[in-house]
Amino acid sequence: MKALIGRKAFGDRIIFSGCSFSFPEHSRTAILGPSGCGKTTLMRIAAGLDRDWEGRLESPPRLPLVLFQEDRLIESISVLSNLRAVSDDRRGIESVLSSLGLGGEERKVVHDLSGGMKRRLAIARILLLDCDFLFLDEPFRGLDPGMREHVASIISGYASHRSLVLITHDEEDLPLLGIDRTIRL
Amino acid sequence: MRLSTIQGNKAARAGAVIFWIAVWAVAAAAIGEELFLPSPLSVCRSLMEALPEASFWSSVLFTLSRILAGFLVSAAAACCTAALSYRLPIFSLLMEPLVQIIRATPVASIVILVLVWVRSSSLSVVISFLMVFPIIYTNLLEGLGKTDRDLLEAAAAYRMKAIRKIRYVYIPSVQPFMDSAIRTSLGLAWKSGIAAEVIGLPDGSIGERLYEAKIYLDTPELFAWTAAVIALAFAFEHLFLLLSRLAAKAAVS
Repeated sequence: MKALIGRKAFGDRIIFSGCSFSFPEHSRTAILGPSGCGKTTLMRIAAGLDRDWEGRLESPPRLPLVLFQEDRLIESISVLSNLRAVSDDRRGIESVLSSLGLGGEERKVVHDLSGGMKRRLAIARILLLDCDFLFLDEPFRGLDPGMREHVASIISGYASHRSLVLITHDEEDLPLLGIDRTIRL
Repeated sequence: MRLSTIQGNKAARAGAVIFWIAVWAVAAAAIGEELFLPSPLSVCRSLMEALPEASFWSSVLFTLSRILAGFLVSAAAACCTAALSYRLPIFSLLMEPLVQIIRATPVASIVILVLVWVRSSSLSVVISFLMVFPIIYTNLLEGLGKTDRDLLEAAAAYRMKAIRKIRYVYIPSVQPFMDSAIRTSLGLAWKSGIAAEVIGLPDGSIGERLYEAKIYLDTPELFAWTAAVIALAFAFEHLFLLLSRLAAKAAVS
């Protein structure tokens, strides 16, 4: 997949101009850079979420899946309902909840969860869906070091036959997900 | 103690009701004239005398069925039109003046106009419908408009089907707006429905009984009917809030 970007701007502020970024199939690419440099914007373009830019995507992802930087959970409903919103696979739901240390929390309302638990629930939700390109925007935000490694191993297993794009400002995240290519902004 | 803590305390709320009944009793004793202000005791006596009568319950049933029918049909119509207005800006534009007009027109004008079109027995259905519609429509439209854009983007990114989006994203988002609409509109449906009955005097309605109590200067009975209406409005407001919350809970389970 290749993003050929003629121009991407927010008002007068030009983010990208006349540049291209490639994301080979089955690769594990990290987009690195300081806050505000356009990492998430590039991910949104590549994932097809942002259409307000000049240029084109070559061989765009057939089934992109995004873990957003924000958890984007439905706060007023339960953990289980948040997962049922995307999947009917009861066994799959039980399995991801248990693997991410959320077993037994099914009935809790999301706004009663800690920040780390919410992040794990957001990750659980994407693990229930199929994709060919997985985009992860700061996936380990709010997780302690031990949990980071555990979650990274689960995501790595899920992404074993898929292309993965990691957006981070922390280079320590790279080995956790076996990143083999980096794009520095 | 914080205001929210006091308001959440059932005993404190009951205490507030008892306080005002005591104020009423003192005022009635001070005036000493049942025609102007009957005492709580005589109102209670009047209500107790009416309760075993079949005519009391037939009047309650008459008015209740019509006000609730108007409320339910209006709520259904408001839900459908609010959803259409949310999806189609042109429909929203068309609805706006209509809703403004219904909201601004005095109840008395509508009652007189409606009496030209329908029988007085159907009056409270139409009035209840017209009073409820703008409140539920406006609240629901606002709730839909305030649905979290990020959640909607996530729903699209996670390929959520329309029915799931309604169940898991829109319904939790509009639920607080629906609660507020039920609270406001159901009370208004009772007030305006009975006011319409007092004007139109349909046979066997609560409005007719209130009017008769006024004609015969039976102030305790007037108060007794008013107390009955307040109790009915209170009970049905809580019933509908409960039903609305249960329905929303069932949608996301």
